[in-house]
Amino acid sequence: MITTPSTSQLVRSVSSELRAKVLPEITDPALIVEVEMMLSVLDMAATRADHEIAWMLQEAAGIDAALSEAAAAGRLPEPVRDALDALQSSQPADLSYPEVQRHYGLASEALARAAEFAHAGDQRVQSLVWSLLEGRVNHELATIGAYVAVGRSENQT
Amino acid sequence: MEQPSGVADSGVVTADVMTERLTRFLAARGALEGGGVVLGVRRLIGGYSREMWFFDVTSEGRTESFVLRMDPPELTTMLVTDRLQEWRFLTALQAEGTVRIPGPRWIDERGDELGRPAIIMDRVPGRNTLELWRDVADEDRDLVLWEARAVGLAKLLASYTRVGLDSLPASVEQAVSWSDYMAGCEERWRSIEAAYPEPVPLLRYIAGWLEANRPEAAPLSLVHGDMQPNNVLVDIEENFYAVDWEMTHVGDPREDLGWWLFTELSNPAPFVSLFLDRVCETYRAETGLTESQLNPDVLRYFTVAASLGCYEDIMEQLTAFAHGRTQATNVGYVAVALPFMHSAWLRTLAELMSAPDQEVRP
Repeated sequence: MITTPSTSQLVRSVSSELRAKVLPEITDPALIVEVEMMLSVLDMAATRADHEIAWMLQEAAGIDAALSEAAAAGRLPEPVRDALDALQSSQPADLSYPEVQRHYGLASEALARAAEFAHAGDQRVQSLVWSLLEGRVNHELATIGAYVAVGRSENQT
Repeated sequence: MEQPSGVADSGVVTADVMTERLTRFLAARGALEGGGVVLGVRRLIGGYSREMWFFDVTSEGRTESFVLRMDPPELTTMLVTDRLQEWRFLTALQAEGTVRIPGPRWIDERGDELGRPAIIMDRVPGRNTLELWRDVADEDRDLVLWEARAVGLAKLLASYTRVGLDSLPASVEQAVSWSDYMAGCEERWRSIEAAYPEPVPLLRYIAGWLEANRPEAAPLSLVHGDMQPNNVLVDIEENFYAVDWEMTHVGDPREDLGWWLFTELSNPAPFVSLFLDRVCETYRAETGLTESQLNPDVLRYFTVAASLGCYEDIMEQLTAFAHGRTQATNVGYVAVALPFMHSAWLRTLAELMSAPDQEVRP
């Protein structure tokens, strides 16, 4: 298959053309807001196309490694260990989106259970969970760049 | 329900069509007697949840201005709220008289006449604080005036605590105690997560964190529920009015200031943050809350806690999107807003957890 130009390049070219040529021609303020929202979604989709599979796999591996260490040290309760077992029994059959998303879902569940347990008092678990959550949110943030609430009056000129 | 003429499949209504509908609607209620005419119908952008229109009624040389708040087409909005409930709140608050609100005038409860359920209110002759902030360049801004506005806002919010809860509509849910209310909110965080199509670890973390770090209790009171700069108007005499009462409920009074601070993270008029100590001092003086009940760190707790109402709705709408029940642009767009919210909560929790000598900390 042809991989060049990449998906993100194609999406960004559409976004760029819409912004340069279509948006200035629209006079209906409500429609302008809708198109600006669409452009934000396209920009996010472009970043996700470049990185999402890799980020899901990296995060899943990071969660697996960090929780495994905590489990080996006897710091995790049974529900977290069960979710970790489910994650460790999973291997994405391929790199298709649904397959990686399924695997990532198991990692997310393991982290979510550890997050529930994090307030029980074990500082090392709390710090580990915090670090994994930060990594996850950093990836989320990287998909949007600077956030501008489209259509809100604070952003109207 | 039969769709009135003029509604395209997309739900888009033109100003001309809305003028005709409003004319029929108001005439049927005797509001156009004496040759009254509906003029200047125009749609307002900016509301994420309701479709908003401005219009005037001119009669015998006198002009009154109104706002129409109408439900959007189904599954095309981030926030799903109930016009009848909003109407009940507004009329109850008007009768109670403590809080300055735009007067509710008419309701089309089922949307039979205006196209979708809608309420019509007096238009407050004011501008929101963001517009006022932008009137001058940063270097020319009168910070004494803005400190006074921060105090004015604190007084407005404090006035909600004086509304008698027994004056609110009977349908309004009221928790037995503050602890029950907070526990219910924490459970709602967990329920949002459980209902979402994939695990969201941050939500489970937040639910547990909020539970483990509850501040000192405060008496339950009326909460506006979406207290942010777009929803506060200031008139020429510097009177403050709150609009958009669709998220109103009975809860912890500190939620409104907390949510305001949250919205200041993404808007360019952070005057409450700038004068936060003064705001806290004013709010305490007006409400009788103690410093341990209300201080900047307690409010940071509520910047996270008070996100619940908005977040609950948008996650429900994103779920509908993920399941293919809607493809509305502004619902899909929420996926762009979520990372900002998640990051803001995480930063706020980090600040609270690293702050020494706080009332709220793990």
